Amino acid sequence: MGMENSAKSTLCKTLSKFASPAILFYALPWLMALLVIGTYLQKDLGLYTAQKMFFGSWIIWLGPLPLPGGYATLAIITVCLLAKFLFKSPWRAGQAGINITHLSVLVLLIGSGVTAETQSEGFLSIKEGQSGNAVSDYHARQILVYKDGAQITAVDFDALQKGDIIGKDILPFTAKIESLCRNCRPVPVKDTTGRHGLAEQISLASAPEEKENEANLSGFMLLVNGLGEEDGIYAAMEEIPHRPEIEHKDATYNFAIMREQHVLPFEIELKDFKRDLHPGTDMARGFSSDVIVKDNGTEWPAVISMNEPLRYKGYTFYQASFSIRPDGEFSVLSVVQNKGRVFPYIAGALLMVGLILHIVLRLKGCNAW
Amino acid sequence: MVRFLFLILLLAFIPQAHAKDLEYTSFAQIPIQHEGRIKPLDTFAKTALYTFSGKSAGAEKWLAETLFDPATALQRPVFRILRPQAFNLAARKSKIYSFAEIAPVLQARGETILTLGGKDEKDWSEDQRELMRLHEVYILYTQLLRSFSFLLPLNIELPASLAKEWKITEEKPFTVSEYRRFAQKLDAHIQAITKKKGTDLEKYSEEERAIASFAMNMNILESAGQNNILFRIIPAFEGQEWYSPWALTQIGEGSPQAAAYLETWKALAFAYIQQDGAAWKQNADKALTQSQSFALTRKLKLEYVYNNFHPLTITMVLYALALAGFAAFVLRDCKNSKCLAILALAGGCALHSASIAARIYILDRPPVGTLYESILFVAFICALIGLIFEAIKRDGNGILIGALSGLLLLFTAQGFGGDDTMKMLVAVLNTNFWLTTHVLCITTGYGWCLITALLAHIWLIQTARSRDADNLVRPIKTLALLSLLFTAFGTLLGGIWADQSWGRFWGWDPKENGALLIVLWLIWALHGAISRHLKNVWFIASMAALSIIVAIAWFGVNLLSTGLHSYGFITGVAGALFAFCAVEIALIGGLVWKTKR
Amino acid sequence: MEDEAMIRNLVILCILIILASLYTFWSDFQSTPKAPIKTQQEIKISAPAPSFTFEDLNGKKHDLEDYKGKVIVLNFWATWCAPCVVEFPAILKLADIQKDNAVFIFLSIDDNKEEIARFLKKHAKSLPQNAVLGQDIDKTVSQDLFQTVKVPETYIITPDLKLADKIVGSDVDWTSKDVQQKINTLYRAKSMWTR
Repeated sequence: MGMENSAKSTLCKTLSKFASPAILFYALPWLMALLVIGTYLQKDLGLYTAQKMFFGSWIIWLGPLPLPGGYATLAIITVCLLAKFLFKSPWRAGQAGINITHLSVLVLLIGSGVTAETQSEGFLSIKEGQSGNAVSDYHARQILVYKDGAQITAVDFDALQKGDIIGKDILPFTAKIESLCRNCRPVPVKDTTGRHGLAEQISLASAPEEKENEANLSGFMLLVNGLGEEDGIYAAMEEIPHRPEIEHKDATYNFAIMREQHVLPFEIELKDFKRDLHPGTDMARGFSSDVIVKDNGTEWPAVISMNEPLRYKGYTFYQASFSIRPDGEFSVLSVVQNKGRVFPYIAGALLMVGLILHIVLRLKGCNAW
Repeated sequence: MVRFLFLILLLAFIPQAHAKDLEYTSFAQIPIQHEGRIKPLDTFAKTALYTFSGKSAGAEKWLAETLFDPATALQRPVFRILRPQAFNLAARKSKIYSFAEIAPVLQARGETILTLGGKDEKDWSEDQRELMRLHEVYILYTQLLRSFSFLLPLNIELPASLAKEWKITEEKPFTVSEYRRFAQKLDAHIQAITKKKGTDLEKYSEEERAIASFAMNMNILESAGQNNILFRIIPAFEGQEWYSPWALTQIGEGSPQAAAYLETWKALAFAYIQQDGAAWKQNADKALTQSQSFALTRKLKLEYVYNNFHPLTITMVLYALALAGFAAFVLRDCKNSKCLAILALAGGCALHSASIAARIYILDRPPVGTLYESILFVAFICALIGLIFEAIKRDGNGILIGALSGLLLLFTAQGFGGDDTMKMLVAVLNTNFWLTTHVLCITTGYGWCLITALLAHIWLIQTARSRDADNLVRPIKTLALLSLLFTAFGTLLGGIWADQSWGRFWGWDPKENGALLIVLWLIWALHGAISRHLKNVWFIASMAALSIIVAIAWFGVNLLSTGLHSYGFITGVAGALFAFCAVEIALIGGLVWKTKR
Repeated sequence: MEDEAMIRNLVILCILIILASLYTFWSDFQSTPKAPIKTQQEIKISAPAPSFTFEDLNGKKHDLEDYKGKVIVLNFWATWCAPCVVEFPAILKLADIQKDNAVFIFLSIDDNKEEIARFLKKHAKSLPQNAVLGQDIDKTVSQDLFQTVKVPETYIITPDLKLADKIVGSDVDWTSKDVQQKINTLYRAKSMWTR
């Protein structure tokens, strides 16, 4: 009992030391510096990379020098604020506004923590008249290997390097990564000896990465050995329907690269995709998708339009974009799961109440500040 | 470039008018659909002429001439070319050239234009950029010149046999649309001739040859109307889309109402050609009345008044007057001039809010959609805060900060106003509750920040001059809290909007980060002052520096996200922003240094 | 004292977080999707039809006013226009079905009356009672009044002579349920007014 008490008081004492404005006073300029640099470099690095490097990181390495990243800085500020709110926020007259404001920021920061941990984002591309439930990840890509049409293995594309072997103990031949590109540019080839399928016509070269990671088209080239005549270079790239095909001992093997997929517990059918233009222009006024949600034998009609998402079973579907291809119209819905989505709303309400209360109290002369 | 030859040929048939002064008030209010909304011809003409020549004075007159007297319009200098020497054009003080002058220039560079079109814009040199811009506006102008070519009387001699058969007389002007009535008959004639005599012109009789060449000319005239879609003045039979006179009939969107309306336009064109002032006015009035069945005349009228009454310029004058009154009050201690200043500031505020309200009504959307509009709105908020501040404190400072910030911001807005055509917005930015509240809240926050910064400047200046200004410290702190309230809540609302629209609360997007920067700066300075890490002078200095932070978050962020299309414009803004920040840092630094001594 | 304040603040914070979590889980397990459901648009009747007269092949004069009280289907066509020729029998079939509710006016923009007569002889031995065929001499009706340059174009006019619809081209299934329903609706709407 006594031990517990003393442990508790040590924890309290340590934590209460964090309730110091000095920490905030030095942490904030650092956060502002990160913010400015990270924003400025978005132009060169692309949004995704800059964000990961400056805001979504614990440590930034400046050469050999470790510097606190965005997450670390925010974590320090959160601890500091938590200590201030728990230990040094008595509910005196004149303090109420400040306390509520601090509470709101605390809720916001905790909410962002929950969001950072639980948010998953992907997209669902459905053709008019068809249903879909496979959500593709915006960023993560996979190399899939099929035997006679059935998937036998999946490899995380981002973790691969040149020279890695795919399906080492599974495939009866060796498939070595000859080259990889996050954003590929097909280059025509002249010499076709030792090249098969797609690789007979093109070779894949690295192009500068797009600003938006989702716009990159990744691909790879394989060097296959152990087949005899069929040995050689094979290539596959996103958005190119051709898949390297290898016949070996009465079995057909295929390789494909695609975004990592996640299957929804229900289906969405796209009835109609509509594009509304400002009259007399090519400028879009709005997009919308008429869909039917199918779950366990029951169906509901719904409309997903810009700014009016569909929410169901913890998933939220937003009208993200569309593509009109020769084989029909596709609506692209972004699918988001985020357990922290309620916090900003609570924080917003508290923040407004807190600051207004504080200003009113101040104008009435209830506090020095 | 073959098109150009067509055009010259086409225009050769249209008689030239001799322009006198006509009354353009009604004409300027006739509706047109352009860039996604219905606007009066006045706005359309001003926007178009600005695109061509960089000026918009006399736009209605220019538009009428271009539409109804294209042959004269060809010779009128309207194209502003920044580097005429690059195109071997004779140097000219005004740098303004006519269609007839630039057409050969573009014709000679047809190949270059084609190759450049296939290249990335980023790789164009300044001269090439100018060439492509010129090509683009040239095509626009060509469309305008031909908008009515099928209604205009043709200065063409009909083969005598045809004139007799079709009962075309001198009194009844012959137009392309009149020709359409007889198109099949003409075809039959041509077929009969070729059947009889083959395609060799040598064998034709004089009359037959005349008919053949007439048919060819008419074909050219008809094809000149292909893809003429710019001048959308007539609503479709169904739906919200309007069409240009040419397109309407080609697409089959004509209707009896459209026919009657176009008939009025035809009469208007004839009145212009004959320079018949009475008929011109009568038909312009008639067109306006007819348009009431498909356009909101009240809105058009308001926009016309807004365009020509220049309420924002008058607002600027009133703010300047308020400043002058304030100066007289401080220097001469004249009480009356203070009253005058307050009146001028209040009047300015009223007119300013009326202008913003008019824009909301005209555009049918919230007041802040573009950078220009955000400056207008912040200027209004600043002036309003100044007025309220004066009402509470009554020491004249409110007049100074309100009028000065209002005036400076409206002046800045003018730099961005050139391209204010009151545009519609793309899908993502369209009207939405969260977006609207977010934008209004954050821009109001900018206003509070600027006022805080201005008051902090006053404190620094007074203290540097060893005058007592400590009565300003408390208001500065209150204003800083209000700035924090609006910017922090506005930023949060931005997140909520993003969550509502595409599912991510915070995406580290430059605009979001800019707003967050202001919030962090305010939090830092306020906590620094409370914890005494920032001494009084430094706290006030950091409040004065809010102006820099706001400028970066507001304009700097726009520089990051704007494309290369308005390259020269953006470098100008970047330069101005950099100069502003440098001057502010020097000023605040100098004042702090002086107070410390 | 201080402990009490700490516990109070801790409780406040925890309650907020628990409430937020509860709401999140509750909304995650909502059984029906939350999204707006679309509404249907109704037919809009626009401006009055311009009055006009025309001659049939026998030289007899007709006025649009004569057909007031029934739904009028006004078809602009020409013998040399292939899509017009294709849709002609289909419209006649519709005319036959809609004997009681609608009249059909075929206005040809042909220059030559004989050609129209020849066409008629070849394609339709006799017209239904509620159909009339006329010539639009010098396109004074089609071009000047209705702004029809390309044929076929078909206007549907209400029994009180207002324009209800316009069909451009021949991409219509004339005997379909939709067209029938439209004519019936317009006709019934008229009987409501007269009552």
